[in-house]
Amino acid sequence: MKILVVEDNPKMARSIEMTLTESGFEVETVGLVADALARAGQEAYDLFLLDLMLPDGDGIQLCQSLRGSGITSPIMMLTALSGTSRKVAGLDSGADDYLTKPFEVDELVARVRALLRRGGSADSTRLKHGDVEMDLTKRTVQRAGVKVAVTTKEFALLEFLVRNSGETFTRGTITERVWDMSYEPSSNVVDVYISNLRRKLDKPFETKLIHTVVGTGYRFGAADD
Amino acid sequence: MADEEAPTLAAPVRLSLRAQLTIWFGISFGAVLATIVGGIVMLDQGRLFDPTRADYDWLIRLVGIGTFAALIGGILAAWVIGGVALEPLRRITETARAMGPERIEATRVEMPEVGVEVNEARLELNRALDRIEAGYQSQERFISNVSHELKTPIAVLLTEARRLQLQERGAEELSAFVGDVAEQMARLGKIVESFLTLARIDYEERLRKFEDFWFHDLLLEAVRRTRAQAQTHEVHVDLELPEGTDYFDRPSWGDPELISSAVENLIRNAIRFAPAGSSVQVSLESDPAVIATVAEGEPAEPARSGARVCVSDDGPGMPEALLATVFEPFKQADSEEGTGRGTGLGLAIAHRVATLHKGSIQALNRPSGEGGGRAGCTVEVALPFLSEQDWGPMEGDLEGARPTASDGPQAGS
Repeated sequence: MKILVVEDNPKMARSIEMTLTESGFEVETVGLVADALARAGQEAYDLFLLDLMLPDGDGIQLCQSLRGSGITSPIMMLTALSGTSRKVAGLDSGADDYLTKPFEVDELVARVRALLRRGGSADSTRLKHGDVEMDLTKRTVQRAGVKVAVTTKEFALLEFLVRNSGETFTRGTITERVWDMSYEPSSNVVDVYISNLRRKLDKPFETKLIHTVVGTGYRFGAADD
Repeated sequence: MADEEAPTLAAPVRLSLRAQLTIWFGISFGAVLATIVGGIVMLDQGRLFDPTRADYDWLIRLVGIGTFAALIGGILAAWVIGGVALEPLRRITETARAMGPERIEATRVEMPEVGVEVNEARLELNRALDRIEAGYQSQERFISNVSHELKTPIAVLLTEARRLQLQERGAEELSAFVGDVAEQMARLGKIVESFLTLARIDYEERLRKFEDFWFHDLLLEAVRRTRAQAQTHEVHVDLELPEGTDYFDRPSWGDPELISSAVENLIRNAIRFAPAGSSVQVSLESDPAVIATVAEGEPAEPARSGARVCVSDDGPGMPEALLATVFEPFKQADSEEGTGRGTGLGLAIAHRVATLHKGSIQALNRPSGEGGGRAGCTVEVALPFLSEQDWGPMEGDLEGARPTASDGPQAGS
């Protein structure tokens, strides 16, 4: 697994590089937007880590350029700013995740692993299952041409279910893999989110897509899957 | 003559109040005297000026001199009385002249009690000064706390690093230092983050870079961020969302990041006090008052309905004295002070975030079933659903629309 780190502070860059190398990744580090674009043109990376503020440009533009040149590997933004608008800009520009500096080392590794596991998340900007259509960049959902308004976390849940349609997941798996939270059996988070999705996505339509598997959890897909 | 002189006296010539009072008194008193003398002359039917009545001379002189003396005396008295009456004002002026931020605690208006009005003015002035002094003091306290919090970890690490540099050190000593560095820096990072959040609340208040947010997502995010801490403390964080309702399908308008970091602070706080193996309960409820009006068929005012977020722990609860002040910066339970665990800012941030979003926050101890002991602490945040319009024009005065803390729903305890 090859990662390109774009970070201009040499100490920070070295620290990230060592962390990821020690976790078994192959890492390259550059400090400039121009270098990053050049490297990305020559080599295929499995993941990009971009600092938001770089000497010759900013991470958001770099991210857009990378996506513009057809690169689909996951991109994670690193930022010392914790303003909402900046974060949103990061994700809208095609990044898959962001991390606010200072961050814990294990947090970085965990997020990198999660992104790599998700793998082809950016390989397509659209996701389809039957009459359900998801636009992954605009974060919108349509069913049979009708727009369905969902929240960010509902979107993540639906994306996970659509990607893995036909499989049955326990509440624990959903909490861990969709929201990166530890599962508490007494918490009703998954049930509430599923019921909200049902109300928005299934209720107005004939075919129900979200199914309860008694004793186990939930499954997504047309009934005959 | 009195009526003609008045306008020229008052406006352009900047006479002292004392002189003005004296002149006015002189004019009116003069008019009174003139009326009396004129009356006497009329009653006398002009006989006073009859040259054949020589025995009246003494009377003429008497009335003339008497009138003149009364006028002069009256004016002098007015001058003196005016001076005495205006003395308190002069004192206040003097006090105000000596006033300044550096000696506000020593500056109060002192004077003998001369009358109800003056006394009241003096008391109110002194009370205003008390409030300003309290404000200054809390600010001073804040700054001294801040510098203490920021400087301590720096001093600790720098001293130790310089000491280690003096000679060759063994691996064990060095690795202990590395552990210290990580711990102190993590703490410093948390504190700086807290300060930035506090600063950002002020900034948001002015710029209002708000967006739509959903309560469910916001709580999920807050709980997610506390995962690592909960695992370290072996505490479960149970999130309880309302079931079977579309009440929370609509968004509210505000700064989701601020609110979720406020809730995150509450959860982190609860985790610190919760005994290992216990659960911290995070719950979201619709405001019951609003549900009631909807049930009776009354169309609820959308802006009036709200959400309540509760964070409860099974810890020792809070000392009663602390309940009221716990939302002030750097107010901590005695057991926490000096432990370097909390920053003392978490609840202050939560409070300011709640107020910014026109909501309220309160802490209460849950009484345990038997013996009246404390079963743990609950912090409740009540937040109204807001829309972009609720924030009014940018330059508008927020004060009128902002409910005070007591407007929030009170939970019976």
